[in-house]
Amino acid sequence: MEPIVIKDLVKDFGGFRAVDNLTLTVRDGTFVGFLGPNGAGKTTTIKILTNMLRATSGSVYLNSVDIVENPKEAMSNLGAVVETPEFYQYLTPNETLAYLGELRGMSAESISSRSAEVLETVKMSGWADQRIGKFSKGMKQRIAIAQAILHHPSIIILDEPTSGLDPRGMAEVREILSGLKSEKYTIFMSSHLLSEVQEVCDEVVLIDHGKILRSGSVDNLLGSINIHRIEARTLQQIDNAWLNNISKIEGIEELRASGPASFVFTLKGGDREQAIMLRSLQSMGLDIVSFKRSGIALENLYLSMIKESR
Amino acid sequence: MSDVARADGKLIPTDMQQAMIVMKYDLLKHLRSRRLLGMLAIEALLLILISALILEGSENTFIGAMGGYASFTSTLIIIAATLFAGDAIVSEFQSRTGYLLFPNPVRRSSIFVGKFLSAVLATAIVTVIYYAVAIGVSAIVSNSLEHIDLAFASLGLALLYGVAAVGVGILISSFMKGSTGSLILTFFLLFLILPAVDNLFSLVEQSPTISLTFAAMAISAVLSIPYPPETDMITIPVEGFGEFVTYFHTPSVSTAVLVMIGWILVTVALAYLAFQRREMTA
Repeated sequence: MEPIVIKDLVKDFGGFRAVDNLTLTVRDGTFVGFLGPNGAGKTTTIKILTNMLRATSGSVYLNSVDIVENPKEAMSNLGAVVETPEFYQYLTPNETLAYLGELRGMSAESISSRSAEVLETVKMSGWADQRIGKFSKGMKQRIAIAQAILHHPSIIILDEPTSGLDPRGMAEVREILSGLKSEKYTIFMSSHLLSEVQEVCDEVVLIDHGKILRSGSVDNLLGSINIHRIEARTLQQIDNAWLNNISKIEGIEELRASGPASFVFTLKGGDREQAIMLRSLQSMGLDIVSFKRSGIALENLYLSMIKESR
Repeated sequence: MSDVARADGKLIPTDMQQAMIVMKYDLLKHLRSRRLLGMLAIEALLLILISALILEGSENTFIGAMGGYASFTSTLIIIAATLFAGDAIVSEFQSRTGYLLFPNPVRRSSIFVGKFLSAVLATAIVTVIYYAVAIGVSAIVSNSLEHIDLAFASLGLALLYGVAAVGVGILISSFMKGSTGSLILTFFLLFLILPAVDNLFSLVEQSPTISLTFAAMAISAVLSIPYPPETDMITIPVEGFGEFVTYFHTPSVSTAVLVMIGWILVTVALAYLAFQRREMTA
């Protein structure tokens, strides 16, 4: 039984198609990153998955239960953080968890013990009995993650969980996500942050204009990348004349100096193309000190895929 | 009814149990947001003013004193329904708390029923306290409880009107985009717009039978002995223009009850449909 199955999903808003025949299966126990630029259809898909939007056509199953036909059963083993949820300002974190725990059928004892655990997990124990009204966005996001895992769901859906957080808040949330990964949940997380997906996810689905561009394990996708960002360091000072000559070599794009004696560029191709490139640079009289791939590989793939889809 | 189980085998509460949970936490909201306390403060002020007028005045019958209180009942109910129901649904969308509540194993119907019952209960608490004080003061002033049955009849009609007014508030809050607009529309519809339409009917012999605020007139009319006629006509001679005729309409108790029940059924049904179909797009 696959935890999340999406079949031929379409969502139209008036004349705009936000999700376009999207078909996707998330395997048990995997941490899947749903990656795409703003407006790609990530949040719309997640809102349909969590029964907050109705699909125009297609179907969505959580643990083999149709979300439209039986939303209560479909969402019984789901924990979700969608957008940046707001909380009832008159409640404390403990009361919020009690409210949601009661709705999910947890006993009072279970709510009490589990609330302490999840608040400890998200480092909010010290705020358990303070009204949420004045909490910062980062604190609210941590409470949101706490409520999502409160009832030990089998599936967790997260919609851009680090969105709007400062660098420290982002690091804290990523640490929590890494912790969740080790607990063997099935996690489906949307993000437009490549580094985040590469850091915590096992698999990635690239989406743009509501369509899946590519999907697979992060390792396989990285292996299939044929565009690389390369940084070269030389003995010579790299001036405009050198840059002009280097730019004439076939396959070089986005060339720029990265220091007094270094430059970066993107190169399409694999090891063979890189060897040819290195030979060309040396034949120009450049003394290459080092020649290495730089930057985040997934970013190269992501940018090229997005570019092609537009 | 529910046999839905979580991964650990524990059962999810039934739809009605979940509605009660939503109601409990919604009532807590009314308490902590100080709306209920504010409402009780308004009620206390109103009771003190009316009691002072009655104690100062010449009214010394139980039913007469009760009539003084009952004439303000619908205003009190309109304020209560506005505060407790006027933004009950829209607030989940506008303040984004729906993102927390909706992705749970709970049907929209349970959320709707819980919120509706919480608003009805809060309005009923306010109404019952008002009548308890009114009956007490009227009994002291008149030193009698003669026709107390009519006071209870008035309370019954007031409670029914409260449910209908909450229905109007819930309906408006289920399709409006903002809380403030929803609260204002609920209040002005019940306090100004519908009564203004009712007043137009004083020009014609036909009564505004299906109007909710017209039906609410039975709350105080039931305390009159004898019960006012359904239509009374007064002719006022105006020099140079002949005679000006004006009509006073009073709903019968049975008509008022039917109209209020009709409003409850229609507003609640429409509100539920609107809430059920409403998407979390913002």
